[in-house]
Amino acid sequence: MKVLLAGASASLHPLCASFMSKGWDVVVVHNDRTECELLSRNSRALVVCGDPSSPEVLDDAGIRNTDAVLAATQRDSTNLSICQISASEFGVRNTLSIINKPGNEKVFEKLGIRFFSANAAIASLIEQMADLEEITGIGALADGRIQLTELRIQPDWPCVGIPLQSLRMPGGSLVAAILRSDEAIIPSGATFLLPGDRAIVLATAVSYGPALEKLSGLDTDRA
Amino acid sequence: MYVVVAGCGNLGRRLAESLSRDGNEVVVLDSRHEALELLSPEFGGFRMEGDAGDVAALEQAKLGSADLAIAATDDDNVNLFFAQSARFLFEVPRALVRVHDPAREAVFRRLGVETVCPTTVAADLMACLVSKDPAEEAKA
Repeated sequence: MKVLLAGASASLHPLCASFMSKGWDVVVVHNDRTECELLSRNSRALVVCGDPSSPEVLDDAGIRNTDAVLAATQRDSTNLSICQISASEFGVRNTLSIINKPGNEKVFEKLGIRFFSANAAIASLIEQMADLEEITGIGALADGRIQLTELRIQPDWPCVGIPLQSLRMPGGSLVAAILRSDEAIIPSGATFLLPGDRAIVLATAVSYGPALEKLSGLDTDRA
Repeated sequence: MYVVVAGCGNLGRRLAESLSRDGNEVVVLDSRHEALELLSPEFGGFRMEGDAGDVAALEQAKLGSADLAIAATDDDNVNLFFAQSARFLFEVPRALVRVHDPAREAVFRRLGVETVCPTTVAADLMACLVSKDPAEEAKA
């Protein structure tokens, strides 16, 4: 999975970290040099400095083999351009736009561009793109450096019936709580997960993907 | 005709003034108050302060009743947003878009937008003038 993130405010950093933690290739296109330098210093994403609504810049950023484009600038008009150009010029099927001004969604709807209202949608977007219905993102802590996720344990998952201490969760991740029917359990090393449990998992952005894989056996990169 | 012009820069202003002079009902939309003040005192249309990249402002400009929408702001993305809103949301029969970046003109056209790129127009015209020898012209 390769994702292109076009422009964004401070929300970009945790978003970027979340995508990368799933093992996705992330390319960021941003027109602000300072923002670009910060990003390339703090993440492993490929950073391209330039106007994300320019067809040439998008082409240079490798949009031709990109699976999804997220237009996240602070201008809805710029986001509309990015999505339309990505789809019509470069054949990107999965485009998403952040809407900054309420009311503007109407235009995106008419043009068939998928959109999310800013802020609150970012967290849920991550999960929607992951397309794993057993997994619900509860939220992010510490500016997205820590992910809080609820997993409904499925009968065929490899973690079922194994004491947590033997499960060896990846470093930087933790099964913090278990909700079993009406009971809330804070687990010890001897506790094990049962089908139907809701496990609350706490993980750093980097360990998030490996932790989900450990518990579910699913390849989080499959999307 | 009822015409909504987005952008009151040099192009938008001239267009608005001439359309108004020709007896059309014209609304000029620009987020900069000072730009609207540059319209000539003879301009008989409406001036509206607002962002052409904001549907709420377009509703206020009654874009839904327009016969023609002209996008003439200095931002190609805003121009595209305005034109696409006019065509698909407000169902305006015709939308004309000024495009700054010649590279984007073809892209906008493939999206079905009717465009005018002043740079391309000027370049073609100048190339045409250059290819004609003034001495030959004078003889003819």
